[in-house]
Formats: sequence, structure tokens, C-alpha cells
Amino acid sequence: MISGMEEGTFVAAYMLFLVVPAVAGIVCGFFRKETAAKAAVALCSVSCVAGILCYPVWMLVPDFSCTFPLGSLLGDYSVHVDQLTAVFVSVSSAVFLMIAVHMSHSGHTYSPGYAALGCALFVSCVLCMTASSAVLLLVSWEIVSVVTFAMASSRREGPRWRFFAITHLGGLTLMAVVAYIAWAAGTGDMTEWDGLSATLGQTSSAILIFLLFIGFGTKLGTIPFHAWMPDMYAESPTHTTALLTTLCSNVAVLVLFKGVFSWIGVGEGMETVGVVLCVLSAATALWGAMESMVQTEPKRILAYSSMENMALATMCLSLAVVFSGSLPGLCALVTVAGLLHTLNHSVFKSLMMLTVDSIEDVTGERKIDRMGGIACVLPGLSVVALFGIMSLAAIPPMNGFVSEWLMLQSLLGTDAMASNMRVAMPLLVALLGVCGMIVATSYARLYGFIFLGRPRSEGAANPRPMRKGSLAPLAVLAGMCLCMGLFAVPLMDAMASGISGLTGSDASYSEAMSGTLEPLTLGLMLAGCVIIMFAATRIFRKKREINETWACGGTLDERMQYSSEGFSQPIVRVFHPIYQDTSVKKGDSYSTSFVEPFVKYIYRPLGALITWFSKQVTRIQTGNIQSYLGYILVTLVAALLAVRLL
Amino acid sequence: MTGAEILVELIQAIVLVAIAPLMAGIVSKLKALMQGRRGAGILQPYRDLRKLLRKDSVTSRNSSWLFRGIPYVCMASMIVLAMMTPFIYTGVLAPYGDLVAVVYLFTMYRFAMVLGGLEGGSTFGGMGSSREMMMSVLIEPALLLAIATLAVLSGAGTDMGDISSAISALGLAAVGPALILAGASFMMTLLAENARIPFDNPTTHLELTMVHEAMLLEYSGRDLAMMELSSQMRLTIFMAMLGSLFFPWGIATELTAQALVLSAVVMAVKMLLVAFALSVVESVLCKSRLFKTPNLLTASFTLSLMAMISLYIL
Repeated sequence: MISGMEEGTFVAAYMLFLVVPAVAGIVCGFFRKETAAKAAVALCSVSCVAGILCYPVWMLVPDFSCTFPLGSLLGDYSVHVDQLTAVFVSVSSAVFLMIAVHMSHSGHTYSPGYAALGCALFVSCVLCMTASSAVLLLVSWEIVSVVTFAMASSRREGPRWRFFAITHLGGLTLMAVVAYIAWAAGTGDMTEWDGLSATLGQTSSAILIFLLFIGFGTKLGTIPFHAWMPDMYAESPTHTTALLTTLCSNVAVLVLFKGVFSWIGVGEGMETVGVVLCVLSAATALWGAMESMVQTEPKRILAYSSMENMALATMCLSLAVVFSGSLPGLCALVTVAGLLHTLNHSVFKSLMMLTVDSIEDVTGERKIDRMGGIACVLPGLSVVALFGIMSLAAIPPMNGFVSEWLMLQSLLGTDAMASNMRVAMPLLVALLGVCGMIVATSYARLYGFIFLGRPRSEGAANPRPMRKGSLAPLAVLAGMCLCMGLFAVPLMDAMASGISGLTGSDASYSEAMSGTLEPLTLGLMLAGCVIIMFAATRIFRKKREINETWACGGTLDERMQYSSEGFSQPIVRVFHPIYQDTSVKKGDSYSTSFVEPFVKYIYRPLGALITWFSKQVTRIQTGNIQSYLGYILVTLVAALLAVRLL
Repeated sequence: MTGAEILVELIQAIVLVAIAPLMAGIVSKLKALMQGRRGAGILQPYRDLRKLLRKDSVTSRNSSWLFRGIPYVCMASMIVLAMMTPFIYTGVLAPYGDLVAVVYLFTMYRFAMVLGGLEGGSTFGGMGSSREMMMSVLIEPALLLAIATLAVLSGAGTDMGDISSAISALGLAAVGPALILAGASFMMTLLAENARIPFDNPTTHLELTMVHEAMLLEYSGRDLAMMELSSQMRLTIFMAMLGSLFFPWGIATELTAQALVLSAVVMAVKMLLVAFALSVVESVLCKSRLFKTPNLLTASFTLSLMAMISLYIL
């Protein structure tokens, strides 16, 4: 199609189109005018459009690379786009574009600096996904962390510093792993890291895989590294949260996948590490699901739900590690499930985050116990939110259903029965079922208490009208939720071929499936049934009277409605040993308090230990000049001795 | 797929939908007889539906567009399920989903009904929704595991029709701990999922005991008719699944008139047996306390888990 010379020019032009507008957007941050913020968003949108075109460009020029004309001591800054990366970049860019459009119409008075940081986040995420040189990967990953930290400014500074500390722990782990691999491979060019496990040896490969999972797990909320998530999600601006939970998760999962299956490569004898990671992910999923059930702020509910969803994705990848050696078909299937779930998650989660932002904006309330009845006043918003909720709860034929279907399919297939993990399969099926129903409860609660019922506060009863233009991006995302469900099969095929390109295994994922899935037909059947029955009831029309809710002959006041705590109480009671809930009486009102065991038993003692250690250290700070001279002398002697002796 | 096959599969789905009220009528008649009452005729549910369909409806002013849509969604999910369930013939009209899709369609029905319970803002609705979800956290995984056990046992993949014919072909060899445990679990799931005693009482309207009915309080007229019918369909589909998946012997695996007639007769007997068992359970047991039901549900969940594990271990 395109000859060699032209191809290079074309790719360079495309990369300029992708990166330059967003970089120009960053520059806008230096100006303090409102127009600068608008310009930054507009420039970022141009880059996003370029990002969406990534997959079409990949179809024109398969597997293109580009080196930036920037030298560094540690190697070139170069990118390489394969099929899977192209899919991820396209979907992530579409999500980012919708978040940016919503941000510009949301009426928040974000500073130009915020918009510029958004541009920086986009560039760094895209570069991180596409990076083919170790130095670019590490630099852009670090920028992602710092930028999200900067975008998360809020009144309370605690949560984002917690995020900073934990995410840098992950960053350091990642740096160590990448540096070790680069040293072992003898090059920082990641295109040459293909399946190094043969040279690294089993043990060190297994350790590297484990460290990669932990490194990215800090961003994805793997226990016990999730401690920053709920507070950070709830406190920071919603658009930051939306970007963090969608774009950053996509980057983390994609690079994790590449790291484990392409750079290191999984061979025989790595089942143990896969099993360990699988257990960790399963525990994370269950914990996230259970905790999301008892939260009372929408953003906290979504934070724990992100944790659950990303844990399912990492669980799939860790199962792929287990199956990789012996069952390549099953490995391909479970990888497609995990990666597809990540993409789907980014779409429906951004939809829900933006919906929550709009709701908080129009009602001025932040707790679901102060909302209610919004569906009557803002029907448009309630329709798009329903799409998001249905995807989250994996209701057919939405996209969430497709990826859960794939996960279950990989656990139920005949291949899984042949594996040596077979005894664990029923347990994982049960886990998926329980997690799925708990989060479905949690989402029914989220939707029901925001949109349905009677208003529980003045703000919910008389919400301000929606900002002009802020519904459109939500509608687009809802459409994506539906389309990625209905047309999941081509998407799965594209991802599968991208995956086999990276792993080098040509096993077909569809052969490992033991059932058929045609989400499009299923969706059409459901829609057809609804339409026929609706038409029938339109033709034989009956009167419909509007009256009060039945209240046993009395009248209902605002308080005579189920509260969100009451709604989750039966489940809390059933799972009391896990929740460790206690009733607290404050005046006339009762509430339930929960213990976050990871904070109570890990982070608090750790913090106390560090504080104690610091206090011990301060003892040497006497303020006496003689003792400081003494310290210098001791240090000097010790250093000299060390130099002499070593 | 030939024309005759499609016709048979279509007819079997229509029959499954059409006999739903009849099955509900038979169960309540049997129950009445066992309790020494005369009871209403077995055609009473049809008369109730006709009555409801003729009536105008009243809707709460606090309910939204979603409330009006929910009866349609509930009906649609059950109709699609009816097409996916093997009944008298192992072929199904809708092979575009499998047991996972079946379980998620049940979830869809439940999800819609729970959202409907939160509409209107009455205390009952919220209470019913909350309790329903508490039970479903344990019911759905048990259901998933019980059907998945059959998929693994038959080794025929996860498509519903294939499972039925494969188990039927296995003959007595299929009867083992896995099938019995899964069948027991499925029977308990049937009771729980369809709001029967001891989990819930379908005939009560007492706030202390209601679960399923509490969510239906705000529906009236045609909406209520659709909700009632879809709930009866759910019961019938469950009974059909018990007969065609767990004890499928006699079901027509090929398309001959003789096999079909035999299968229809055998299926009718099976359905009557299940209805009889249901009414015995409902007459002998009393409704258990709400916070005792999780114990029973956990038992059902454990049974299905054991069924599946036994397949891998034994």
C-alpha cells in the first residue's frame, strides 16, 4: 500500500499529529487566562482524535515504530505500535476524549494548569503504552504518577500523599525489574526483549513476574496496596478520578501483559507464581466487591468496584501464567478475557464517573443517602447511567457481560479440566459468581439510591439543570458500552491476533471455548421481545392513572424510605465475620462502622513504627555543636575504614 | 438446521410460555388439597391474568420511565430464556448463548425487579429489594455451579441443548454423586429463586415475611399481569430445566414423531412430579426466619460446589 520511504514519513507525521498538539496544550498551562484552559482542552482533543485513529493507522502500516530525535545517556526514546497496543491506544483515547469534552462542559472552574496536566497525562500514557525503549517507558510511567498526583489536589492532602508513596513503591519495583531485564538482555531496546525467561532462568523469571504484578498492582489496587484508592478517589476532582481509574489502569494492565508475556515470556515451571498471584487477585476481587457494598459515597463505591474489576483482569493474567506452558489455547482465551475486561472497564467506569460528577454538580450532594428521584427530573442522564450500570453488573448484552462470559468460559472449558489447576476451577467459578452478585447488588443500590425513589434532600428534589453539552459525551460512552458488547466478537479477534503477535503463540482462543456467544443475536432477541410487547400494549391501550405511592393508608414523609445502610444491612449481617461491623449510637441515630483491616493491622502499625524510629533518630539532634563535630569525626573514620577495607 | 427443527423448537418455546400459569395453578391446587382445602381450579391463574389485563393501571408519581419499562424487560428475559431451555426436544431455538448466558439472564430479571422495587420510594419496595439481593448473592453462584457441573459432567460444552442430549446419552452412567448433589442444590435454588417456602411465602403480604411480593406492590393492571406471568414463567423454566438437564431421560434427542410424543408424555409426568414435590415441601415446611435462610442457601451453595469438585476429584 505505502512504500518504504513514504511509510517512514507517514508514521512520523502521525506521531507528530499524536504528540505535538498535546505538548502544545501543556505549554498553555503557563498562561493564566481562561482561554488558555480552553485552548489546552481543544489541543488535547486533537491529540485524542489522533489516538483514536491509531488502530486505522496500524491497519495501513502494521507494527510501525518511530524514534524521537531526542538523545539521552540511557538510549533513544522510541515507540513501537503493535496490534494490541493500537487497540488499547484507540479505546483509551476515545475514553480520554469523552472525559475531556465532559470536563470542558462540566462548569468546574479548573485552572489552565489542570487542563495542561491533563494533556501531559495523555501524552505520557500514550507514550507509556507504546514505548519500545526502557528509558521512555520508565520516564513516562513516572510522569503518569507525578501528574495524577498533581491533578489530585484537594482540601485534604493526606490521601494523595498516600497515593504518592504507594505508587512510587510500585514505580521503584518497576524500575528495578526493567533495569534488571535491560542488564540481562544487554540492551534497552524493548523490541529485542522477546522471551528472556530462557536466559534468565526459571527462578529469576518467576520473581520478576511477581515483582511486575506487584509494581503495577500498586496502581490497580491489589491488596494490601489499595489503601490509597477510596480516599483518593473520593477526595480528588472527579475528572482526575475518571482518568486515573480508566487510562492509568489500561496502561498498567497493557504494560504488565507485555512485561510478563512478551519481555520475560512464560515457560514451563512457573505455575507456582501464577497460583500465588491468582490467590492474591481473587482476594482483592472479593474484598473490593464486599467493601463497595457498604460505602455511602458514589465515588467510594466506584473506587472499590475498580479494585474488583482490575483484580479480575489480573486474575485472568495470572491464570494465563499458569496455563501458558501446558495449555496455550486456554492461555490465549483467558488473556483475551482479562484484556477485554480492562478495556470494557475503562469505558463503563468512565461513564459512571462522569455521571457521578454531573449528579454531584446538579444536586450539590455527595452521599447517596441525600439523593433519589433524579430519574424523574433528568431522564436523559438516567438512561445513559442505566447503560453504565448494566455494563458494570454484567447484564447481557452489554460489554461487561461479554468479558465475564469469557472468564467463566475459560474456567468451564474442557481444557481447564485437563489442567493441574482443575480442583481450583470450581472455587474460581464460585468466586466469580459471588463477586458478580455482590457488585450487582452494590450497583443496584448505587443506581436505585441516586436515580429512583423519592428525593431525600432539597438538592435532589430541585436539581439545577444539566450543563449544556455535558450529556453528549456520556451518551457516546453509553453507546460504546452497548457496541463493545454487541460487536464483541470482531474486537476479541483483533485482540487475540494482537496477543499472539506479542506472545508468539499461535493458539486460537476460540478453540478453547466450549460454548457459543453471539451477543448481537442475543441483544436483538431481547430488544425484539421488548418492542413487540410494547407495540402490543400501545395498540390495546389502557388508561394509566398517576397517584401517590401506596403507604398503607398513611402518608410517606422523606424519612420513610429505605436508607442505603439499611439496604446493605442484610448482606453485612450475613457476612459479619468479614465486615467486622459494629453499631454506633449517636444521639437518636444509629450507624454502622466498619474496620478497614489493612489500614488497622498493616498501615497504622507500620506508620507507628516509622514514627517511633524517627523519634529515636531525633535523639542525636542535640543542638550541641560539639556532638555534631563528633558525628562528623565518626562518619569520616567509618568511611575511611570502609574504603580501606573493602 | 432444518425447517421442521425450527418449527419444533419454536413450538416448544411457545408451549413453555403457555403452560406457565397452568403449572402455578397445579402447584397451588395440589397444595390446597394437601392442606385439606378445596382450593381454586388449576385454570385460576389464567383467569387472574385476564382480569389484570383488562384493568387500567395506577402508577406512583414518584416512579420514573424505568418503572414502566421493567415489566417488558422481565418478560423479554423470560421469553428468551424459554427459547434457550430444552423442554421436549434437546435442540433449542437459541444457541447463541449458553449456560452462562442463562444464569446472567436470570440475573437480568432479578436486577430489573430490584430496581423496580426501589421505584416509588415506598418502604416495602426497598425492603424487598434489599432482601432479594441478600439471597441472590448465594443463589446465583449455586445456580451457576449446579448447571456448570452438568456441563463438565457431560463433557459436551456449555450449550444447553448439548448438555441435555449428552447426559441423556450417558444413561445411567451419568447418575453419580455429581449429578445427585447438583440436582439437590438445583432443587433448593428452585425454591429460593422462585420465592417459595421456606425462603419466602408467595401468598403472604405481611411486611415481616415478604421478599418477592414486596417488590411488586407498586405494579397494577397490565404491568402486574406481566410481572406475574414472568414470575410464573420463571418457575416453569426452572421445573423444565430440572426435568431436561438433571434428569433428561426420555427427552427427544432426534426429530421423530414417536420420540416427540414420548418425550412430551415423559416431560408432563416429570413436571407433575416436580409440582408435587414442590407442594409437599410447601405444606410440610414453614417459612424460615429471614436470617436463617442464608444457612439454607449456603447449604445449597456448598452442595453445588461439592458436586463440581467431586467431578474433578473422583
